[in-house]
Amino acid sequence: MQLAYLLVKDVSEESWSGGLLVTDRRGLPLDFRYVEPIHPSRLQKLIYGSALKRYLLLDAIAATLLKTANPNAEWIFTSDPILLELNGEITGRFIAIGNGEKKPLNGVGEWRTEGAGKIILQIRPTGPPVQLVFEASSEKETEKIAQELSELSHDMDFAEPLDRVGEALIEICRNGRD
Amino acid sequence: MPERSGLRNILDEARATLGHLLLHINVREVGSIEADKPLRLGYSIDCNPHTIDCSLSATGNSQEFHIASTTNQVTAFTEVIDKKIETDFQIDTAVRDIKDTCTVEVSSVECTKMTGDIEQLEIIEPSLSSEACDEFRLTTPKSQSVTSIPVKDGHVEEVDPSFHRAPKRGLDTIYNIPMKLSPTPWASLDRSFIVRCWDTLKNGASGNLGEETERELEMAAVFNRVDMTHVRRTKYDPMKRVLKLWPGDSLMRDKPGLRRCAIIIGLVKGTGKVIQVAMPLDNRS
Repeated sequence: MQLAYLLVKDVSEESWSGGLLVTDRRGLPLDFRYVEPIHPSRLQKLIYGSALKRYLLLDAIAATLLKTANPNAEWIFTSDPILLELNGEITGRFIAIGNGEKKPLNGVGEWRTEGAGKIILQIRPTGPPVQLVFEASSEKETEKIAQELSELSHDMDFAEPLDRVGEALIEICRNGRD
Repeated sequence: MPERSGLRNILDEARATLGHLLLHINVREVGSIEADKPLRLGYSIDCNPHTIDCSLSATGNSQEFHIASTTNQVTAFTEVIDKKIETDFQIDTAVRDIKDTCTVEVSSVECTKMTGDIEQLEIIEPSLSSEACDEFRLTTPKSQSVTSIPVKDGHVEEVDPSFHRAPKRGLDTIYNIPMKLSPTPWASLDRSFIVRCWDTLKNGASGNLGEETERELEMAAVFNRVDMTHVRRTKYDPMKRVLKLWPGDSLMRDKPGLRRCAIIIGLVKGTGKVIQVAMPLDNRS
């Protein structure tokens, strides 16, 4: 089974970058692609206005990465719920990982639903649980996905590789400035 | 109060309508400046990635603007097409506004009369900057039998319309970013397993520590069931209490006996020295 991690972030005040990491079930990298930082010009900011961030995230970076890498992953994890709009564009289900509540659940794999397409899951032995958001049309589908993610959490900390993508992008940005 | 240029109004309108928009701007036509003659100013806008060739034209004296798309594929412009915007339009103001607000270069300026014979003609090379356009002045019209003026190719300020960047592979970079593991909670480990870990740690540390310092050894953390296949290096971070594992590439050979193991971390009190020992696990562990 392969997992994909898609991250688009502002690597500095004025530039955006993105990376797509494909790992095996142990979190070991199989492929990594990135888009070098994009610096919107003053004119581009002016013309795109409030649509700029959305366009950069979805079209200019995320869609380009997915099209190029075309990962065959069961799950595609991301940190930004806006990227859930890409669900269905490629094989695999998009899951947005966010911060949950502070209080840990009983143990790794514990979960509870917070409505359709939203769950809280404990994926690390210590620390707070994460909030996972995904596209699901019903409570039943939400529970099915939650159960699958719970099983995955017993095998690995599936949120951790996303942090690595962020570090790699910062590294790439830093090297680009040298 | 200075008027806003037609282009600014149009862009504002278009911006409200479109998500993906307008990057290449050419100011193309400038007409007669005689007050009672029609004045025509057109903007050609490439709207990549949709390759929209949309020409915005303005008729100055009538104080009406309309936008005409030259292609039929531009559904997004539907709301803007035929919209009339009233404004007092001045060529100089427009050029100045474009320069001040958009920092685009005017790629070409073409001067024709709207109807009938061309009374005067002046073409400024397309590579003109905005500053050069400020210098643009119409000359006294002379009768000429020219009916059309081709716009010459020339320099246009490069504005990447789609922000497109071909993704690059960066496996070398990602291999240098370690995976991070949290310690296994003590509560989830059997007492017998903890004792085994402690014995392994003491044995592993004995080569490095004297008898006295061994008394200062404490077991700080255990990372149970760590898959060491394709891991080329490990390091414990005592401040963050995480184990960092640097992945090897897919061609890296498995380490015999170290497929799954417990990584045991010992700390020597007082010195801050970290001892790291790997205990291979069998299937029962």
